Amino acid sequence: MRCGLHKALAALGSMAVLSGCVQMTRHSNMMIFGTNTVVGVRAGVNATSVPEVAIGYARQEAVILPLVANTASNDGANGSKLNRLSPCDFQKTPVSYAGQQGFIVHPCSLVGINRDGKMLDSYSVLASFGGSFGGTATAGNPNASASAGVAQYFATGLAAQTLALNGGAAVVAAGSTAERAAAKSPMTLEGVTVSSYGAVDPAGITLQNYLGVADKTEQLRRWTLAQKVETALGKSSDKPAIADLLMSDDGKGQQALLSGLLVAEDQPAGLTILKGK
Amino acid sequence: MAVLLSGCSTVDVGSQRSSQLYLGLVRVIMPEPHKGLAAVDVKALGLGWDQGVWVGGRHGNWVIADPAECQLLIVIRTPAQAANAARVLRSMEGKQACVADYTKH
Repeated sequence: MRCGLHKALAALGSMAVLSGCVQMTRHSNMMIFGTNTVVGVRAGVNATSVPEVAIGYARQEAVILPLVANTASNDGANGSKLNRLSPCDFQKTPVSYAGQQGFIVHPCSLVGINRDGKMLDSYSVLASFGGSFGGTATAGNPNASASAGVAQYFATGLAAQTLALNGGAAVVAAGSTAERAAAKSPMTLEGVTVSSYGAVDPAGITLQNYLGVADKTEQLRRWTLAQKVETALGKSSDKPAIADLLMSDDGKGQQALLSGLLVAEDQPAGLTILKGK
Repeated sequence: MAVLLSGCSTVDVGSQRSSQLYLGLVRVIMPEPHKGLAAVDVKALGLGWDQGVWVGGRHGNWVIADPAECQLLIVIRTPAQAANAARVLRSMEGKQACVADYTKH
């Protein structure tokens, strides 16, 4: 009986170890950004290896940002590369020049150079840890309520430089703050005026107008772009999803696609839209 | 049953290694990676290990980006941020930008 129990536990343990795993491909020089939220009890060490016990609600926000490149080792048999990464050797790797200003860039460094080649800085990250909260009060005024948005963010490198120059804090604003910021400086795109996400200007454009432009070449371009955005938003491009969307009364879906198109139209070269969930 | 009730994730970043173990109800969402951008969303109810043991509910979402492909990474969590991101992207002048969109439609 005991032996059978041991076997059962061993089988259960091995199945647990072998199942449900997500193994990310071994990366080099990856930037990781994310959050962890635990509701319950947590006992362990924090990011600075200090022991701690948390009961109730604990939230971690973290970023791992590479500043110096890692390279694959060449110490395998016959000079083959091993699946092992090591810091780039500053002594051996030559220096290169980049940008209009002729910046001295060491290949070991991960840097960004702006379009005109006049600004150089480290890898840029702009992230928001936004949240919202609200409450009601019954004392005095039973209808009293309040809600607010919190937008915590950080920016590094060229993003931080440009944000400081252009006052781009609105990008990380939350809730009504963002809507006010967008309304204050509305986006303009080929005659399209949108005061904020999802709120199409009554005198402006709809998805139907955007896709139904008279010029056939421009119409084809917009439809192709719409298909890409639709795919990025998680819908298959081989289905007539856009046509169905136009025929339906799904205003929310149409606004989502139109907003995605505006993002795509404004994007610099190389923009990738990844649908999270 | 054990297959359904367990999960773990491992991320290697050079010499940095992060392993997480989940026991209980686990849901892992990984959208299809685009170029150098990937994302992982894990929701779990039970217990697990991540630099310490935890018991209860846990929700983590992580964005993994390759600096070579994404010199600028923007994480947006609300539709309003998405609209504003478009405006700021225009002024960023970044050659390679990636957007992780967590807004719900």
